[in-house]
Amino acid sequence: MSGKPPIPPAGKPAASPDLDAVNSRLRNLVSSLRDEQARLEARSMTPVPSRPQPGQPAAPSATQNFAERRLATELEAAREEAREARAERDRLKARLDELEAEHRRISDEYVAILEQTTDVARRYVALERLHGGLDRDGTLTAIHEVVVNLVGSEEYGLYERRGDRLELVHSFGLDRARWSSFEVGKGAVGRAARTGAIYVAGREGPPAPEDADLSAVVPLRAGDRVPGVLAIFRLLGHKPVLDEQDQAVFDLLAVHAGIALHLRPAAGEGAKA
Amino acid sequence: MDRKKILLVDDSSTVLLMERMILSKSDYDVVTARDGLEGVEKARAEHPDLILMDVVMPRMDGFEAVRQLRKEDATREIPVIMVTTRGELSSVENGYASGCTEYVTKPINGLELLAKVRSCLGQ
Repeated sequence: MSGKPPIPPAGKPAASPDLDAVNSRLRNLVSSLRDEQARLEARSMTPVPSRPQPGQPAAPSATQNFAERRLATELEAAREEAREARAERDRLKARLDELEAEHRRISDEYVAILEQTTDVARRYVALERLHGGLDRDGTLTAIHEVVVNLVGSEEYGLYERRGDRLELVHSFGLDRARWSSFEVGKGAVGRAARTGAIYVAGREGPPAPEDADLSAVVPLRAGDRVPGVLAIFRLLGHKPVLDEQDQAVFDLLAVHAGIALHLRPAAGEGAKA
Repeated sequence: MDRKKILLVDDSSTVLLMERMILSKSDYDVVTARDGLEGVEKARAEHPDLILMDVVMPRMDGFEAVRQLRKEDATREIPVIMVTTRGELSSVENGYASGCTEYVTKPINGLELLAKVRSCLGQ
């Protein structure tokens, strides 16, 4: 609204102070009406919600719409984060599976290497002991320790061939009267002396009744002769069976115990050529 | 890391050699004794971190040796692994009753022995 006073009609005198006051109130009234008109015009630019019917929920206001839009945006962002977290979890799980498989592989290798190391150590120790004895007693002690500590038996007999018989010359944990001799070629002990082959109970079928007390028989070779055998009877209670490592020790005993005894004969015997 | 010292007590050269070879793969200092009496003396003098003890030995057996070790302040806390051919339950019970920490039977399984050695040494 302009600040111009209303122009009096032509030919009439100037307005009195009362008229000025009325005029001023009218100007204010017109001004306030114009403001109200402007406000209503501005409001008419946005859709006016219809009045809710009784029993219907009220339509959301502009503020509510804005909050809902913001919540929807935040929800979508949260869903995206959840998708990324699930993908990351799947990646980590796959990596964990890979690491666990690698760990198992390395553990298996470690165990295999340790078992091989123990096996090699067992063979080395057997060889070292069999050839370390300075005399026959030293060799017999070595055989004893190998059988007890490396094979796992406290019942064995060492037999030497005399003609067609194998006579017990050294034993541990045995009834010497019962197991004093065997005939060459008879039973597992006699066959080992004749053939030079190692016998391990159960390896080629169930043992014959006369061999039921034997766990293994090792021919003690000297070159291509078999001057004696080592008969191993019952194993230690916590050692159920003979395995491949024991077979390796038997192979060593067959060759090296035979040679060691051959080179260190009993008192009264000369070293055999 | 400090090198751990292990005392091997056995009257069998074969067993001592075998134990040495198994333990040689790890970084241990090894001292040996040939019977229980010498084992107790070596334990007092050497202050090992661990003892591997045979049972059947001349002069003093392994059970008695462990009992002696448990009586003395200097050796009371040293873990002891019995290494023996005696695998029957009564022997195992005797071993633990005498104060041993672990029990291993012969023939020695290298994997089992190393696992128990490391466990006793807190490794």
